[in-house]
Formats: sequence, C-alpha cells, structure tokens
Amino acid sequence: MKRFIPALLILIVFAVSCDNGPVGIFASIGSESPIEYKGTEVFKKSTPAAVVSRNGTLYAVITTLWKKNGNTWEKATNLPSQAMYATSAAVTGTTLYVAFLDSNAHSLGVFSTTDDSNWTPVDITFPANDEQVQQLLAVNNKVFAVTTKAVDGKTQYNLYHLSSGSFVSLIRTGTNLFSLAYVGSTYYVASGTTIWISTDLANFQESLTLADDFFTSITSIGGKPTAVTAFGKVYWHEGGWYNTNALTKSSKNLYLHAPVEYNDTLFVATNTVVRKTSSVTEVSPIAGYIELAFPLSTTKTQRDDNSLVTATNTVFSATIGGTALSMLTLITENGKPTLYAGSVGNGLWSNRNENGSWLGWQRETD
Amino acid sequence: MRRFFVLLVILSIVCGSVLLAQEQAPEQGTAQSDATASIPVFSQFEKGDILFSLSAGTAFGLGFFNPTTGSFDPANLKPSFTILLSLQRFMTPNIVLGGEIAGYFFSTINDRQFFLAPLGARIGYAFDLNPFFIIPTVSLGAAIMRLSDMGHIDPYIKTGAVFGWSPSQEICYTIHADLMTIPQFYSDSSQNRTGLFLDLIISATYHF
Repeated sequence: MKRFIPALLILIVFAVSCDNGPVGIFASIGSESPIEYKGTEVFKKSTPAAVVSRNGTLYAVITTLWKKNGNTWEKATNLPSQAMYATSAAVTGTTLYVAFLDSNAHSLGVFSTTDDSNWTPVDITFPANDEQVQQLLAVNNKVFAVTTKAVDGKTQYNLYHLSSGSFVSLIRTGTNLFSLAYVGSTYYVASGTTIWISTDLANFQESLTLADDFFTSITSIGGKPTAVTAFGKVYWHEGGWYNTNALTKSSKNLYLHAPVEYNDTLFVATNTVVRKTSSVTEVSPIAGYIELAFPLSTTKTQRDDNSLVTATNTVFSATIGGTALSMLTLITENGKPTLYAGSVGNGLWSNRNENGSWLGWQRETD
Repeated sequence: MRRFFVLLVILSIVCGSVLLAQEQAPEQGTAQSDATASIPVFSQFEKGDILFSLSAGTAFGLGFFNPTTGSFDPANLKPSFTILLSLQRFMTPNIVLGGEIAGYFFSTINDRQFFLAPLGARIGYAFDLNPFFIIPTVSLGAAIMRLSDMGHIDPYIKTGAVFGWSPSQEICYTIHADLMTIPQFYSDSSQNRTGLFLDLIISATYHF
C-alpha cells in the first residue's frame, strides 16, 4: 500500500497526458463568442442540403425551399401546387431549378422559376415513378439531375442532363452520387471509383479508376478538375492525374467531400462516416473542414495531424462544433466571398470574407 | 431537468445524513456523557479515522491562461453541476491523506457540453475547533476532459479548505472551497492553456 500510493501519484501526474483533437479544449472554449439566436429550433437543428444564389438572392434547401430576406431566412411562398418538400436546387443564369416532393414525399419533379412566383415543370415525365431526384447540379450553364432507384435491394444512382426541355439519361451505373466539373471543353463526371470524361455528353470514357477508394466530389479549381476521395486524397488533372498522399488524423485517413477554393486555399469538408471498400470498413476520424494551401503536391501530405489546426478551424470548432457537414459552398454576395456550411442537425452557418480576412462563423437564422 | 436532478442529489445527501445522525443519537448521547465524565477535552479525530464524503455543488470557470499571449482567455462556461466522492484517512490526529474523484458537468456559453473528471490524491491538515474543524487541503492528480468529440487528460492541482461542523461523532457537514488549476498541454503549443476553476461544494461526511 505504501508503495502503491506514490506510484499512483507519479503515474497520474506525469504519465497521463494524451493529445486528442486538433484544437485545444480550453483554447476552444476560450475562443467562443456568444451566439444570439432568435430563430426557431427547427431551423437551428436542421440539416441544410444546398445553398444557391440567383440574381443576388440566396435560396436554401432545408427540407423545403427557403429564401434569404435581409439577415434572416423565410420559407419560400408561391410554390408549385402540392409542393411540400424540396430535395435540391441549382441555378443557371437567372433560372432557379428545384426538385419538389408532395406531402407524402412523392416526387413532383423538377420545377423552374425566374421570378419566385411562377413555377414551370421542367419535364413532366421526369423522374420515372420508381426514381427520386436526389441532387440538381449546374455545370457549364447546364442542369444535371441525379436520381436514385432501388435495384435488387441496392441503390442505383442515375445521371441525367437537361436538354431541350427533357432530362436525358447519361450514365446509369453509378454506385454513389454523381459529381461533375467542366474544364477546357471537357466534362469530368465522378461517381464511386471512377471518373469519366466526355466532350459531348453522349460518349463517355473512363479517365481514372481507383482500386480501393472512391470519389465523393469533383469540381474545377484553378482551372484544373480536382476530385476528393473518401479515404483522404485529393486528385487533380494536369495533363495526367496526380494526387496527394492521404490526409490523416490519428493515423486514419480523413473523409473528404465538397471542396471549394478561395485565394489559393482549398476548403474541404470532412465527415465522420462509416466507409467501406473491399478490404476496409472503418469510421473516418474527424468532422468539420480542413484548409489546404496551393499548390498541391504529390510528394508529401499537404497537412499532417499537427497542422490541421488553423485559426479559422479553431473558430469553426468553437461555434459549429465537431458536427459533420452536409454541404459546403462558396457564394459571392455583394462582392464579398461567403462560405456557407450546412451542419448535420446543427443548422446553417456562414463565414464572410472582408478585406482578405474571414470574419468567423455565424449561425444563420430564420 | 438538471436542476431537479441537482436538487434530488443534494436532498438525498442531506436527508440521508440527517436520518443516520438521528439513528445514532441515543448512543452518541451516552458516549458523550461518559466521555465528559472522564476526558474534559474531546478530540474529534484520531489516527486511523476515516472520512467518507458525498458531495454536490457547483464550480465556476475563472479563465484560461494563454502562455503564448501572456493573457487570460474568458472562461465562457456556465456554472457547473458537480458531484464529488472522497475517502480520507487520518495518518495522525491532524494529517489526513486520501483520494477523490469528481464529475463536473459544464455548458459553454453556446451550450456545448464540457465534462471534467478529476481523479487524484488529497492531503490535508485538520484544525480541530470542536464541534467545528477546518482542513486546508492540496489535491494532485489527473483530470479527464471531454468537449464535443475532443478528449484530453491533464494533470491538475487543487488547493483549498474544508470547513466542517460535526453535530455527532459519525456525521459532519462540510463546505469545500477550492481553486483547481489544470495546465493543458498539446503537441501544438499554440493550443496550450491553463484553466482555473473555483469549486463551491457541500458535503455530508461520514466519520468512522
């Protein structure tokens, strides 16, 4: 007993200290600033699906369609007949496209408007009865739709292109949500382990296929198609495909999605999700987002465990917390770049850049 | 709900100790009258005595010292609900040595949940002011912390005093006032902070 107590003391005081988390706990608490929220709990605890801008007006898909009026959000009125829910939105030019569901969550199809009041069904035959519109994408001023369909107990993802008022099927064999980029007269389409390329949206050929990883997003960044994966890598095309080493935390690869770029910094959302490949089933380590500096490099990991911490990330952690992101997008409002982040079950947030500095994450309110 | 739970815990401690004190009252009276007859000065504590405390109270974050800037960050914490268990043994009639484990349930100003669980050894020196006593104490140990999905373990030192009243030989009521200091270290030194917390805790202490 006499030996045990000093040994215990020594063990407790000197031997126990672990390093867990990119942000210090006390540092995170100390950096909090009070958030005044006057909105509803429903909006506060929502999971936003998309934020888009049309003619300087912001729209959000948060179960249904919302429109920003001043500093607050309000539910859009004058929706199409029977429209109760919205699943996705996209904008080309001055036209807003929204996929609506009725009160029984049956798909009503995709509608468009140029004035928020008059809605026009885009293609009354779309989607098919056994499909649901999951995502609308606007690339190269064209509208694409991603639907899901149950096939033999599994979810099949289908990609359509809006052409002359009709949605035309493009690739019907996706295993994950599709993502598109348009660079140098070429469309890059990513889903699952594959990136296809096409110049005419009729003929596709495989450009890159991964063996034990899968793409979550592809976009045009710095004039290069840039894709991120579920196991922490960033790929970009520059004559050929290049990739970073996997970004890790606690020796586990991050789950990356929804990259956006501003001022030579790549913002990439990370989520804690269960992911599977043929050989691995694991939970990715952190939720939130990371920042990567350009130029990207193939010879080293862009950020390691220690350098995942950034000032912006600290503020993010102190406000949004460690919740996963449902969306991350960059929208320029009145000439000011603004990051909008949808947090899973924790509402919509924004971070505006003024004079080169990010002002910090603020909760959006209804 | 939390207030109700806090109230319930405090009431349980107080009621339990009062009932125990009442049950022991006749025996105590006899012992005291016998003791009064033979020993005029009655010492509350003897070597080998054990104190077991059930405590509940609150704690306040005072601030986080940032060694990088040399300034204090605001604590940004609402007062906690705190529970504490301690077991101490008198090594001499004055020196008491034991251990403690506590749970602090904080909310930040934006309602993030911060949990703090210090586990450590405590040493004190008892001043016997029968039926009152004061025990200045020092505690040393490890504090396990959790904020959202972040966890950490750091050493802590707690200095303070226990102010007690013994209505009987078996039970006493105490108030703890402690200043807890937790230096928090990270491999990224810009995240290092030293947290300061003030405890105000009431206890029912069983003396056997």
